[in-house]
Amino acid sequence: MEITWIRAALTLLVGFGLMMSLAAGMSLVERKLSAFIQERHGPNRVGPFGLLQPMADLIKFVFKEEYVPNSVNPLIYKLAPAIAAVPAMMTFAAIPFGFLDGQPLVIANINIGVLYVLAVGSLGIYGIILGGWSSNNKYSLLGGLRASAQMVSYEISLVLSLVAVIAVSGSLNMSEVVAAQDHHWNVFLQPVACLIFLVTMFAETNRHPFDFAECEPELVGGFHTEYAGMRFALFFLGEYIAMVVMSGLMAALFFGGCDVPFLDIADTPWWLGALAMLGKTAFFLLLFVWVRWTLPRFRYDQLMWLGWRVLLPLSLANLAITGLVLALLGPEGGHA
Amino acid sequence: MATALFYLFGAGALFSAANVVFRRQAVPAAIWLVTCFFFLAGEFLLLGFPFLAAIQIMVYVGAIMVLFLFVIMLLDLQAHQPIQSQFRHSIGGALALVLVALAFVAASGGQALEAENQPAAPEISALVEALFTRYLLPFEVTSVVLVAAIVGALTLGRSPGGSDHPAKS
Repeated sequence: MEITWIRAALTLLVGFGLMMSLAAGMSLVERKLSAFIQERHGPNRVGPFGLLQPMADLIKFVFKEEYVPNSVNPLIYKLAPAIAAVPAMMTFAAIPFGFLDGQPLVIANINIGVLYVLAVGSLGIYGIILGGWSSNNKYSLLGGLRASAQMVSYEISLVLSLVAVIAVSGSLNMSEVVAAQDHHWNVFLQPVACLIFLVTMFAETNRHPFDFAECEPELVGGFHTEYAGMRFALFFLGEYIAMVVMSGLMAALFFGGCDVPFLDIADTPWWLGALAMLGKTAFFLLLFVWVRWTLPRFRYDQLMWLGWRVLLPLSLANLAITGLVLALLGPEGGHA
Repeated sequence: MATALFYLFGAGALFSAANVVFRRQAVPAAIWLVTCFFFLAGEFLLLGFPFLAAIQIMVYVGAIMVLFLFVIMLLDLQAHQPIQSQFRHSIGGALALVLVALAFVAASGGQALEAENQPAAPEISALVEALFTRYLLPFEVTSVVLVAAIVGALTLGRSPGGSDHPAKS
């Protein structure tokens, strides 16, 4: 009993620390990589190679004035950044990092883990909508409006692409989906679903080329125009953690999670599996920045066209074909 | 413990639902509805059905209410334009409430739901099998009802002149 408690507490501490360091590190990596792509130096003053820049950012955010503009709805205005950050943190609990003595290395081993991540992850949008609405600012309202329309359009395709993966793996438990991918990753079984997930993951995290909620040339700052200090930082903490979670989902559901190529999951040492999972997650995190400086932003009608006319029919067709193939293969289908 | 939480969540759901009805501003009413859905999801969890709880949050909170908020913000209902209510609307609401309550009593067979001594929750596969075999007809009829609702909304949304585009007339 006591060992279970210690283990749970340790997992929680390590998991939370890992999530926060990934998110904070990502804010530095994004600026460094952006600078590299644009042939600049990037932050290089605080600490060696600018490595302490996230600390400097944090101190600056904390010491900024907590300014509340006139005639806003104060309760919702103050609550919105928390609503944006907390669900993203909650979803990290279900991301599996491998197996230790046959037990999954995960904060919460939930039987319906995939559904849990989708359900809780879809709440973060409320922070953006309510922040935009309560700011009493036209630009903010437009940002929140765009975010809600975008989220509804892309979430359906995201869920449908994951349903196909669930159908192939035969489980909603994240660790079981990973275990089922021993030697045959889902990206090879479900390449179309992987592609759809890749596109919708950018839309769900409000990242380039889908960052309509805050696009600077049109909306000043979008939903966060009226926010400053730590409240502003919470919005971006939420965005970065959502990026970590989405990259982790991509790695776990499509790229085998802790599976090292040419090794059985059962024979892999736990640290090697966790490292493989971290490496895959890091790759997709870097992809977020890479895409940001490679693709131009969509036009708003193009965004809607892509969501409803391309991704939705594609994901429905993919699901129908997956179901048909699984039915033809019989109950032993999928990974048999 | 479970029973206390069950009643706590139930009271929370009722309080939120009452706030949805009695709030005069659209956005706070919508937020209270979201709160109500959360309490209901908690009830489903306590009744041993996490699948239903997740679906409740994913579909209703994550999609439908986002769409509601989108429409509310698009219409730009301001704080100085509170929702007007009429007496005849309350009569219709009371009638609907009684009918829904009767339907629930009829559906539950007169037995009260208890948080404890529930049978073990069926597996998701069992739920799906029941949905696609025994309850296939009601399941499909639901989609017809939804299509009827969409057609009705479109008909009401069109201007009486017959123009396809209400904004132009």
